[in-house]
Amino acid sequence: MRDAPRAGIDGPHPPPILIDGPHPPPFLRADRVLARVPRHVRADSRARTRTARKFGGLGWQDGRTVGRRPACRGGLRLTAKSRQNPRVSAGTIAEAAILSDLASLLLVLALVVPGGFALTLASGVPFTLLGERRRLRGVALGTASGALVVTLLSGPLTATYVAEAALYGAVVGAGLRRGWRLPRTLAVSVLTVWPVLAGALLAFLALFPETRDLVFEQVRIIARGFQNFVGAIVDAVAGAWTSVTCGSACAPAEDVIGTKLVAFAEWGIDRWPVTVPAVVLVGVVFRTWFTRYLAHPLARRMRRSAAAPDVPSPPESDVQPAPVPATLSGVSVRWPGAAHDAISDVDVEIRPHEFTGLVGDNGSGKSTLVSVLAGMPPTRGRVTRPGPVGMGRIGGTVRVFQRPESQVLGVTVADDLTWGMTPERAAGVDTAGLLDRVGLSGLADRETSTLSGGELARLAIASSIAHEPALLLSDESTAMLDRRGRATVARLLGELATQGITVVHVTHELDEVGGAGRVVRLENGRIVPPRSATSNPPGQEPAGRAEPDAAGAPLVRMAGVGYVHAAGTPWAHRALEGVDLEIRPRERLLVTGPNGAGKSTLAWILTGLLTPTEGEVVWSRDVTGRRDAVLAFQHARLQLFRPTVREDMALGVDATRDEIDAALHVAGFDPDTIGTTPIDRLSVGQQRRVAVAGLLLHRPRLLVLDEPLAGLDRPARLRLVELLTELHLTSDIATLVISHDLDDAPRIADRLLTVDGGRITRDSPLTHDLMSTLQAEGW
Amino acid sequence: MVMRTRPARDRSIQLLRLVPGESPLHRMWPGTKLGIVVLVGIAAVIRPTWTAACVMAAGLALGFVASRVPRAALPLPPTWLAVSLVATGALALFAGGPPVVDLGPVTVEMGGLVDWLLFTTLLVEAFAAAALVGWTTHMGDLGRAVAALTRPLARVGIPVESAVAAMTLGLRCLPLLLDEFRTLVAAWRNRRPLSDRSTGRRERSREAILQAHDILAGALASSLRRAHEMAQAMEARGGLRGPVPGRIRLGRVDAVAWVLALAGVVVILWR
Repeated sequence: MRDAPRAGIDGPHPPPILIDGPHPPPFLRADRVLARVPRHVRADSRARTRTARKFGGLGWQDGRTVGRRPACRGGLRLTAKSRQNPRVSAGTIAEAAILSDLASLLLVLALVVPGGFALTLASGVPFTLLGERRRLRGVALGTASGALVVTLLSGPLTATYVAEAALYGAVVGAGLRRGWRLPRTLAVSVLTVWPVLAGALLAFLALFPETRDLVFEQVRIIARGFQNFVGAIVDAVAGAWTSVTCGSACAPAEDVIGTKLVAFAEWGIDRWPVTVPAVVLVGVVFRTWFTRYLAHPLARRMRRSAAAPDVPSPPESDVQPAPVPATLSGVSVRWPGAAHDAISDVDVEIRPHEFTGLVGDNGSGKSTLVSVLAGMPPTRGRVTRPGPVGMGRIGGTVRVFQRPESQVLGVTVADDLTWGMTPERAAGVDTAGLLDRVGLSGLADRETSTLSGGELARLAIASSIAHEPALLLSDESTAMLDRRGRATVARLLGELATQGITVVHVTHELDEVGGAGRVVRLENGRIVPPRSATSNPPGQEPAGRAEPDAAGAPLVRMAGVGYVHAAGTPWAHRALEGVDLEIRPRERLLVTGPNGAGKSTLAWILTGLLTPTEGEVVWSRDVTGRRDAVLAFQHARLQLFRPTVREDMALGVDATRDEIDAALHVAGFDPDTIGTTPIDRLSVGQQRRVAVAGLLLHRPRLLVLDEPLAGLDRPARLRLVELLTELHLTSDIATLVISHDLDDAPRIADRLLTVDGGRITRDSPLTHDLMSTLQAEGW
Repeated sequence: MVMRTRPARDRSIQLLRLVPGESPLHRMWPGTKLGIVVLVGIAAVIRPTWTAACVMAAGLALGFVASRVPRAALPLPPTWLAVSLVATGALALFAGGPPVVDLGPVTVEMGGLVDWLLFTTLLVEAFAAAALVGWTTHMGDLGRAVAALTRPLARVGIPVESAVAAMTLGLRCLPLLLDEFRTLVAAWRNRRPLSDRSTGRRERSREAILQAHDILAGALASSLRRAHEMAQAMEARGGLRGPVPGRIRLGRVDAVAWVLALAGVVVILWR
């Protein structure tokens, strides 16, 4: 709603009707960027080619539009108009914070790990990425953030290392952004970084003569130490040699190298105003080269995997926001570079105080539709609403996204509620009341890093409604939660609708909408009539079931296993207690229980990633495999290390191409189409299956999967279930699936464990009777 | 394979974790703690002497007692750290130099060792000071204190709001990042190549660089994704200001701490 017309009528309260016509989305607006691309990039022909490729054939109706990539990579410069805008984008702040954290951790590690010098050098890499993506402004913010974090971790001295790493990052990053070759990067570095570092060091040495003496004394000591060390060796060798050749007649050999070195050190120390900058110059050249050497391929990889473009900043406006009622008629959106519309010809009306459930599978266009409701102008069609959407403003719109821990920005609960507000505005926020509303009473001072997923999701909602919105957009905010968490949040959203907030809730699960609201179903970008409320087909019997070796020896036996996190410290926290468990070959287990019950700790212990604090884990030697047990993590992206699928699977095993393809086949992929796909182009479900396929190449005896179904839509779930069935039918591998929902339980497991409070509370065969009992108990 | 039960004390390092409790140090304004740590640290950089080491040691001992932090909070140094310390110390001994210790048949020149000890002591003290702040400071208070401290800069027109937002977001993301690091390393251990001695050394070191690259790429990709999501969340709230600045509250504890710290700085710089 950037150029929303002001109400031009002189009436008492003329409600302005705003219409979003066929505009390109704001991130493709010419006024935000480079209308005259060629003039700005004339110097860099490579950048120009890239620009042409990037912006050719976008399919937007507006011919003058050119694209905007985050922070104008590839040699593009901001136009004067953008430059005037003093506002730093949210993307810049977030990347500055996180990348500088990464650099800080590397620096602190460098101090405590032997041979950590290389890590100090690597700390320039996050800053280089920051410089490449977010220019100097990002590096400056990152320096501030990194300096604070590092001071808190290891004292103020290390903060200078952060500043140093940031200097290199700024220069090398600028070079990567503009496509400089190495000599040019080195030249710029010598012209900018060198004067700063050499000047600072000279000033320091000149101002503090005592420290200067101490430093130079160190140099002398090192030189003398080297002399003595070499001298001792020379003496020994020469002594042996002379005694062999000429007995005592020869004079003892002299240590020429050592003496020369000490003389050279003295010579350098006498002329320190010259030698110090010279030494710094060598360091600058080396470190610039090394930082670029490390960062260049990484920057390329990150660019390839670059996520969606930046979210457009909501423009400041004085007009009273009024996002509802919103009427969409014939709305279509096509994302740049896409072959199809993300949504097409959508007609929908969002009425005040209504609870609307937006249901559909991944890729059906739900998030795009929500973006339109949040103010993104569509490619075609009209959006009519009484006023601007007013992101985050009183009476405006708020939006909550999927991963709850990314939605919470404050260090404490109370901070999060007022994050981003002016002090005057924050003073008016009723912290206790808001927390009561979402069921987090009394947690105002808790640090947000200690909250569970469900609590974080509710806090994100509380922080959103602290802005007193008229419209709350929940963009799959329940997808990552366990069953109880989902139910609580869904109920909370329903209550908010009755309290006067219009709620649009995006979800895979139809039952979350319940009877409270209206259901809008999207399929392939179009609205279709909603199906009945039974979203899940009744639990089918698996196609085939191989019997576990009930009589055979157990594959692994856990006896009295317990685990205490941070044992012996004030933060000690028991995660597991007295776990006895036997798993046989081919057995399929399902472990379920609430968040924080100890399920993941159990998985880490079984796979040898944690050593139990009590008890023992014994593996049988009767069954062979290359590894005992492997773990497929919920956050599969962290498990995939190489850029493309086949490359990644070959990691750590010497598997042939055929073996890799066979594993991909088990995982339900066509190896030829998926094999060369970049990891970051895969959906979450696909990443999980690729990770499992990669683990299978290690020929484990037990495969543990941590929440493999969480956050997946129906088709993706089915594919994972098929993978597990296939695995069970074609191999001896035992599987243990951790899951907080039991929807597909009979198809992936024969035995069910429930874990609560760190103990196994139930261990029984998974039967239909048990399923009905559990459902009655509210699992 | 039998896994041995391990010692009762966990050696993993806990970063920036508040030890709940009530003490003069807990009551102290976070700005005071941060200011003192920075001030004394700078003084020690300017004159890194044994005097500085002793002043800092005294201050730290006092702080530790005043903080009522249980001794169990102190991290146990991992074995490799102790080993590498001894090794580098032995190397430093080679440098020689005065003072000379006469041990009957051999004389040992202690100069290098003494200097190395001083350097190590100062480094450990810097870590300890940071840890003391971490144990006794609520990170939320710290963010608000930083916001309050930078407010004068905002008044003279320096745009510090986004810097404060980035700093506090950095504090917020640290535990998330550590958690992802832990998972990343675990995932790596799960898949790391089983030790293969057949290849040459050159090959193996090349492999090592490639592997480091792979891990770093994983960390960067997941960090950038996290940054993207947080940016979305920030935009959705319509403000990039960071936390609301807290009030500068200086009590008696703060006054005492400042007086002691300034005295320490004077001793370090002018003794």
